[in-house]
Amino acid sequence: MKYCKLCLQPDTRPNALFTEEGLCPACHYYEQSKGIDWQERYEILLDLIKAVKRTPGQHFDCIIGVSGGKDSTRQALWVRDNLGLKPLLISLSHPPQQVSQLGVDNISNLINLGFDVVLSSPAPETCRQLMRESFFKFTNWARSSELALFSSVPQLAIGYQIPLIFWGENPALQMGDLKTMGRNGYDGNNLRHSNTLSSGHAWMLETGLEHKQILPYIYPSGEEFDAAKIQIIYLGWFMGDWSLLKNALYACPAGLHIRTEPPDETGDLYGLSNLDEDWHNMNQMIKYLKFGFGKITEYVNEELRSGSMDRSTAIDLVEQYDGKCSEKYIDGFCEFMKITRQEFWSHVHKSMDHDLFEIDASGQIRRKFKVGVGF
Amino acid sequence: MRVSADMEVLNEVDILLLPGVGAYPSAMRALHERGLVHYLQDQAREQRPIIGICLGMQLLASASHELHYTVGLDLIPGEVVPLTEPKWHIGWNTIECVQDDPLFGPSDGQAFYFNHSFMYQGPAEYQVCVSRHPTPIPSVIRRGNIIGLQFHPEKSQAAGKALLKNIISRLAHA
Amino acid sequence: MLKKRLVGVVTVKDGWAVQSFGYKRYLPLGKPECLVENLDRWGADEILVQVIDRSVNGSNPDFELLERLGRLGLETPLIYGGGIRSVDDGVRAIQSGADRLVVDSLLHDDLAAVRGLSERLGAQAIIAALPLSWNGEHVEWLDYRHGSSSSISVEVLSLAETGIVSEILVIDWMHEGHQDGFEQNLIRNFPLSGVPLIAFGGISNSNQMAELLQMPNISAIAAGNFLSYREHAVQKYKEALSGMPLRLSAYESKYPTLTHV
Repeated sequence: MKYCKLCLQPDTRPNALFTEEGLCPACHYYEQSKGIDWQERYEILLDLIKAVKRTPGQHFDCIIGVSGGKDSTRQALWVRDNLGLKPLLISLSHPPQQVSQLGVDNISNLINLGFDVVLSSPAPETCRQLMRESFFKFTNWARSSELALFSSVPQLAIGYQIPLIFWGENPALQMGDLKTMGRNGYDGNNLRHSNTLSSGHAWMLETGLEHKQILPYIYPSGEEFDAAKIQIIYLGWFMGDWSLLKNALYACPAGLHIRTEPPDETGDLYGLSNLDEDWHNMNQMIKYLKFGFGKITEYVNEELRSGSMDRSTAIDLVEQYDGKCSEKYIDGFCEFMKITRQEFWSHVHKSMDHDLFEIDASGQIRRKFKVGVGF
Repeated sequence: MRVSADMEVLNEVDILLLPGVGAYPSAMRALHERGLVHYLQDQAREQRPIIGICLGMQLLASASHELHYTVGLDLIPGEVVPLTEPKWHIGWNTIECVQDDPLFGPSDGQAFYFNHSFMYQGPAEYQVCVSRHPTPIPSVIRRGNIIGLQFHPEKSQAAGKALLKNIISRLAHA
Repeated sequence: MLKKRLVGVVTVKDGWAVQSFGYKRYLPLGKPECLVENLDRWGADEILVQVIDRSVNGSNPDFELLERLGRLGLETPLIYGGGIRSVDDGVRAIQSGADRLVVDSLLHDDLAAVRGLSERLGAQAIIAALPLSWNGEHVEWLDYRHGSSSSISVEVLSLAETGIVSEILVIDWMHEGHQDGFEQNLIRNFPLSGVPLIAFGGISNSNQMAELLQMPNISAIAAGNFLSYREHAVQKYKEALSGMPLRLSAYESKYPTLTHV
């Protein structure tokens, strides 16, 4: 396991390749971005949207999937107030037992800001069942939810005949998920090849569910995309300052509410991410145990790249807070899943990378690597 | 632009700028201690351009009643007295030219930043512009090449820059 | 006619300009110099730089920051607050580049020093900051170092009444950073009338601003978070507030306008 030269990204992430200079894909992208003519890109975007005309009787120019969080709030405002388009926002609700007050307040904020929002709620019990299957099959309860999240937007776009879809960042460029690379930096039509979406939904049918029960989880096929002339565009390619912190700094004055819990409870440095429920943060703890890096790493990496944090401070923060998760979130999750704490941990331990972590005599999980150094 | 109390340096510049923050008595004391009172009075007699800003404008007058009665430079005769209700003039206010003067005409009606609690009171012939407090108070005074600005042109963004440019280019070439 | 003012506030913590939420959460924005430069260019009527971790750490004012700001060649009045513990601190802050000062902890610790500052620099240069909250019946004053609230002391009120300080910065600390937050009772029920007040904390939309600007004892409104990350925010607010006693929007672009990115 080795670390990026510039940030604290280890080389354990799936589908990501370090450059010859030892830079992770995100740092490589960041360096390259310094020479970008953002005005030129902006003009490309203006040309693109001119080409997409509203069909008669249609009220909306485009669709944006929103959680009410910092990224989607910023996108919605930018698309409406900067590009002058009328977006339809679609929010996929979590089951009632999962959604947070903060999440609800932030969707309300979007509505209060004047946006039209469609709320989609997949059947909660089916959702629960699939989350359980996801947890035991992939040690990632969110695999099914992410499928629903990604699928909801093109499904609605096809149904409402709104061909233009805006997503946020390009995972190929900004996160290094190279399989999703499209024709160019802003084309998102290959999103179906991402780590999440490529697992498809066949495994859901294998659990005994019928096709009609898992409709929200089915990403439309390439043929359906083509028939509806769907075009996914990544806004991140056009915005020079897309980042965790920057998006929050734009969204907070516009009414975004963020978490007040400290990083040792959430594993989130500023409380900006995963606002609409509590178990994605817990998932970051699991990701940490699987790959050696969690959410804190993502935050400090941004600041390392921009030069606003030095490496030793970043290492301290990662050592202190990365992968942290309060017991209350784990308890809430286990209760919803109807599993015991033991079942939870025994499964997580199985997925833990034992080259990176070990369990000591008192049952505590210990890092075997040195943050920033690896082994 | 140089900041100095050294007469040799001051002799070389085109225009003398007299700023001021704080209270009248200690400002005059500081000028006396540096031997600048006589210097400025001599320079004024030789028609050297002198611009007083805020407290600096008030120092050009004959005397002030701030804290205790203090004699000023007496370059533009008049007295400095407390503002009446309201006690402070803080913020952006417009100036109105009450005399024709090419130095200030272009700035007529523009807003500048004021921050003071005392005002100049003196002969009308020395008052070029007034501002409303709400009763009119002198905001620009002038006698020959001696100019007093009650506001802060250097803190008045575009309007201030334009005014200073106008004054300096006209006075320095005179 | 004397206009009321829109003051741009830059909150600094640990050397970084931050977005601040209710005195609890802080998000780093970047170098304070950049924000101050923006506010200067956008035509804010005054710029207030408040350094919030000085008194808590027992430090003096951040003179280095003031000197760096001084080198920017600002054309807008600069107000500084944070760590002023004595007359010397205040004088040095003015010499380092501030035009006016805000005192906060000093109001709890050393009123004689506040009077000394006023004598030395003039009352127009001294603003008393009062973090206040409304408890349903009356206004309460926060001591932020100890986290406790009580009535505003008679001594502090008399500083304003007798003209030792020229204005009071009323900080609605609970609503700071929250949209549409500012508690108007803090102004309507302020224990003194006839003292100019600057409202700050959660002021984010032009309706709120218009209501406040029409109150007689308001001399200025201040906004922090809501001026950051919005292109030409000062301009936009002033345009929305035409008809109010505010100086007109004064932003000047040196470059021809292309597009807003």
